[in-house]
Amino acid sequence: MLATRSVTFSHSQQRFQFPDIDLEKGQSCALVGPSGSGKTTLLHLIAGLLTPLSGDIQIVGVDIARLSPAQRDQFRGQQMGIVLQRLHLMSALTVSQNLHLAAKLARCPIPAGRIQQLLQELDIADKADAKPASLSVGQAQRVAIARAVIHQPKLLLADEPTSSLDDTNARRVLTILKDQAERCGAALLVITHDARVKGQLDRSLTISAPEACA
Amino acid sequence: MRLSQLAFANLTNKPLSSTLNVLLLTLATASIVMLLLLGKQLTGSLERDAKGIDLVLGAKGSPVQLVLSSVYHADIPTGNIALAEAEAWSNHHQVKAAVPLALGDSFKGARIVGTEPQYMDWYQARLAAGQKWQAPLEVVVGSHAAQQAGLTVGARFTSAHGLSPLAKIHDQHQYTVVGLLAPTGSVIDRLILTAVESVWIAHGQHEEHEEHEEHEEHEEHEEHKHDAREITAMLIKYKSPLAAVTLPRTINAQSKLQAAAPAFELARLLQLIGLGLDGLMGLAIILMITAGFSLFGALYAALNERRAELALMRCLGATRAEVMLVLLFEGLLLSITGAVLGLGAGHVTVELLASYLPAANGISISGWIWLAEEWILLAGLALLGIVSAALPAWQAYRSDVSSILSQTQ
Repeated sequence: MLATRSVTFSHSQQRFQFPDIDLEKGQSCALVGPSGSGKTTLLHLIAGLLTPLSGDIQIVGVDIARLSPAQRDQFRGQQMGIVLQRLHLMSALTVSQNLHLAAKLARCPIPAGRIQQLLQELDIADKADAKPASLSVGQAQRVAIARAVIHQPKLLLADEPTSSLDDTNARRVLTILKDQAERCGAALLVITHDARVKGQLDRSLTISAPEACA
Repeated sequence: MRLSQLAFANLTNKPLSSTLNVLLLTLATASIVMLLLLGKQLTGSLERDAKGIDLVLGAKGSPVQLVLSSVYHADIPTGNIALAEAEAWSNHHQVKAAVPLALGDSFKGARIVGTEPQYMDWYQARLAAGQKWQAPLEVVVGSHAAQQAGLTVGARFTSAHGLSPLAKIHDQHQYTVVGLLAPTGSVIDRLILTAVESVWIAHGQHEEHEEHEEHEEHEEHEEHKHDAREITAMLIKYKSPLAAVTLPRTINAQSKLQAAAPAFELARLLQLIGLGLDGLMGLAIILMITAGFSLFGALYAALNERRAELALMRCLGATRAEVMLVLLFEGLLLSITGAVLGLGAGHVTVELLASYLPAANGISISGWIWLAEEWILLAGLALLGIVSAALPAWQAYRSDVSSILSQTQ
């Protein structure tokens, strides 16, 4: 589902060398590392928002470096679901409109009732017509997760989903992520500096701090 | 969830800013539409009334006043002229047709014009009811005058001396309405037409009356003293356009009469009105430019606030072009809404103006006409929306999603 090989990236005099990742359908993996180790950079590389200096990234067998920028945008929309650390729900749209927009931008037609069913699974069905500003942090995060899986992606990426949560809620969010990845048949990659995450996922990889460039 | 719906939701999510921008665009559009409608109809109406009248003969004085009083029936006449003298010129070999005009009386603000039936033909006026006048003191009433004064066929009325509604009544002679004219959209709609003799009869009587009543209206009295066979003006059509070169000059040099060409005086008048309209149009265009800047400011501020949301759209699979489209849609939606409201407001305002200022100025104006220029205005506003949104949209197009998402962490 996801395979990276000797991916490197260089940014402001720093050279990042990332470990190889192999993730099969239904597997989950925690990518752990200290701040500044380039975790988010790796997530952006996998999502095709950045281009690596060297190395290969293959997602469902497609080398994303070979796609044109517009194709890469569409590929990302169709194959991946991304839960960002900052959630960025569309403030002008209601919860269900946010999910509709995600499906539309992913170019994946969704069956009628999919949104309601998903909101029910995440226990926020009553918020379908609410604007993001009226949601609690926990509710907003569940909407962001719903948005990431609305189109049943093959790869679910999450960036620090537990950083601001207490133990109970952190466990709950990880359960939801794993549960939704399973329902979609997706691979789950969680990027975190939170040690609590490791134990809950199938395996974990550690990223070390970057070397300074010569 | 279409992109246009997202653009609409973004705008309604900021009601104050969106409303203010639409309002500014509405005001600017309405100003331009009003000026277009008023200017076009004003000049169109003036040109229509003077069409076919090549020359006006009247008493010496201001040529503009002569044209205004005898072609547009809008000013007081320059004085009277002897019928015999005017007729001498109307028999000139370069003159194709001529009609006399005898002014001086009115009824409820509508001017009574002593003339010949031919005058109606010059304006292609048709009778809607009744017949043409056969004898003195029989009148044919223009459509607007009939409505205003409440006259129907068979009605009798006494005229007032002078052209204002408050003028003194001649009670000795009663006019009888024998015909009504269908609306023509020209000056004739506001007139009451009769034979020249009617005016002479009314005024012959008037003079006796005045003699008993002392010198109250001394000036008027003087005008009519020597001869009853006077008219106010003579309207002339040339046989060939060549007459325009020599005839007016000859008349002005060789007689006590004044000859004024309506086309020439109208051009001078329109130049003066035009200067005023151009100035106002300049202000309206400045208003429009201001609205454009305000629109740009609002869209640019919205871009900065929503940078992260737009980056997120890219995460969700939106292409650069789609993100750019959303911002262009927002600009277009605001400008088109302003344009449509402005066009509506402009037309309604002109129509209201027209109904509040009844034919006192003598020009029929309607808000319910559509000018070709308005399509251009609509297209221009759409362009304004796109241009205002272009820079924010371009910035959104070029934005580096990864760095925006990293910054906010």
